[in-house]
Amino acid sequence: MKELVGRTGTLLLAGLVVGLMCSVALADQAAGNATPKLHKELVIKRGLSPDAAKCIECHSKKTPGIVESWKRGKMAHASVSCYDCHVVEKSSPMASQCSGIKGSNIYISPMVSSRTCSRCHPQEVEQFLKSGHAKLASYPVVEKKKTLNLIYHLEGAEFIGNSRSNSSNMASREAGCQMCHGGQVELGPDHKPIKNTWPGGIGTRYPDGSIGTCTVCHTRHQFSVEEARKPEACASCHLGPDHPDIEIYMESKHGQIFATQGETWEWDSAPDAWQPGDYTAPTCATCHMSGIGELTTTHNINERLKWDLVHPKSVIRSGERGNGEKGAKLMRKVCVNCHGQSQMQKEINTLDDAVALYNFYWDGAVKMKKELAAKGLLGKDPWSDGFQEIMYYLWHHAGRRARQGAAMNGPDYAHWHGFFQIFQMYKDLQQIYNYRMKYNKIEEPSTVMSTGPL
Amino acid sequence: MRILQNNGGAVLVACVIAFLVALVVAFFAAKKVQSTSTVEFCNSCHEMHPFYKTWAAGKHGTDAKGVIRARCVDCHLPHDSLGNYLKTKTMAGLHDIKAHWLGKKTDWLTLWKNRGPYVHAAYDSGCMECHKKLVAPGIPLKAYTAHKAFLVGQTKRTCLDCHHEVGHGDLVTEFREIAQKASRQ
Repeated sequence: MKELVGRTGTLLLAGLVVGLMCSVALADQAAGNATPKLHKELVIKRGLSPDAAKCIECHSKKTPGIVESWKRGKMAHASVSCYDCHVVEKSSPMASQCSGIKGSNIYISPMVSSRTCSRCHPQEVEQFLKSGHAKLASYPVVEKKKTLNLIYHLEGAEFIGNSRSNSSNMASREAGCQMCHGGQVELGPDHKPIKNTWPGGIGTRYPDGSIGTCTVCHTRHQFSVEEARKPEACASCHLGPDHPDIEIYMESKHGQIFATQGETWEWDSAPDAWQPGDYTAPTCATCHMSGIGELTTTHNINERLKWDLVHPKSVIRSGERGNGEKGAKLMRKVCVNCHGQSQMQKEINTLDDAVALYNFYWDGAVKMKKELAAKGLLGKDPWSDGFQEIMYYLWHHAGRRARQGAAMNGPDYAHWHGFFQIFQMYKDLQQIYNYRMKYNKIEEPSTVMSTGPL
Repeated sequence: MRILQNNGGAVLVACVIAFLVALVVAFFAAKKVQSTSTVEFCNSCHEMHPFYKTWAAGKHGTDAKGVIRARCVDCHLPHDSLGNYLKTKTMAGLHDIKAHWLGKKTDWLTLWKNRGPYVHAAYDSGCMECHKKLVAPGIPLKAYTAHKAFLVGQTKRTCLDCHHEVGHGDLVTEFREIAQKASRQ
């Protein structure tokens, strides 16, 4: 009897212990504390509506990088949250719902244009929209026939059978042109972007009619002013064989001092208060945008420019490209903060001379081209015609390098990559012109290779 | 002067009567201005129904809790001076009567396609009748930052340029639904 009780009792006791342990474990599970949380969950209440707080709480788990970046910036300090920038009306062409708000009255769009920013930054956006960074920037990707032909027919390989209905035909646009210039965002029936038209560069055109992506220079979600003031912000796009602006800058004295002393500079001063002293040499932003001396900050980068150094012939800016006469006066007001009159005047004179010299070459090339055209001696396909190809590189590559190198003191670009190449290209043009005029036919096959004189 | 000397009494009586008549007319006119400023009056024309409905459901309407109801005239007429208010009210009223009698139908969706539904609809002086202080205790920091440019006069934007849904919500969606219902019938 005792043995029976003893064994049963022990069994019962063991069972009881196991049962207790199980129930504790179950209770723990039910309480949700069974496994430790491997990620942070941010709970922020101050200054935010309950809906906005929910965005942050969910996204701190789903896209922690975004929230981490946001919380470092001034937006977070001002209680500007996801809701403020991403919520749109239900009737917006870009309206959609993430899983967190499905079924609610709230609609969002991941695409944020300058119009949204303009609600709190109206002046900046107003200035920006007048500049070459807005509609003019995306013009070649969206409207200009010549560049559209280049992007899809030529680069997209349609001319050798790669139809425009193939996704690969868009690769040059979506990886190249669109990422700097910005393109036209197209949406599908669910209001999500199609054809890889989003995201894009600075002049992106959005389906609601707005233009411009502010986050190109002060990247989301930190929106750092320091970032926008550093040359790296501009360097993403203003580089390369056809406008080596960052290269010219780094070659110049300003770039040299930035490279050696920039780490000690003060980058975070308030707008209009970032002045010489905070820095010992200017960056792109300093001269082209920031408040300095008696000038106030502007987001219109055309405002302080005199010359158009971009197009085939350089003229003093006018119309939608700015006001060159005014720009010349404004830029002097920038230089005068650090430079004496003699040095400043030398730089101004040098650029005027460089522009005049380049224009002289260009006029000559245009004259030759006209005469060839009159006699039907120009190839139908400009990209298979040595004369026209060289003429393109003359203005688009070497010509820009010469002008912009002269403007910002990059002697290597003004000379070796600029005028040194220009005069030789011009000689090539003369040779081809002479041959065609002499024999009254287009040379064949073309002796000029397509990898232009880079 | 001779008239007064001879008929002084009659002139006095005439003046008093004229004054009383003017008083009655003024009282009547003021009453009419009041009665044509009510929401019910504006809503008495069927064309106004979608606007009434969206207003009632919106931030300044009947369904909103804890806020002061804004009548149609509080926003859609200027409140910078009495003269301007009465003048605009008269012109707008005459226009609406004419449109109603002529049966003129407005294609709102097409009109709003490029302009947006909030262009020139309501007056800033209307908003500011109640929202006098944009910087005050209780108003969050980001509102202060956002209103800075407006208060300092550095922007030409109006209240509605940013706050375009406070009156009638998402009007474009509302009218799309109306158009859908109409096409189904």
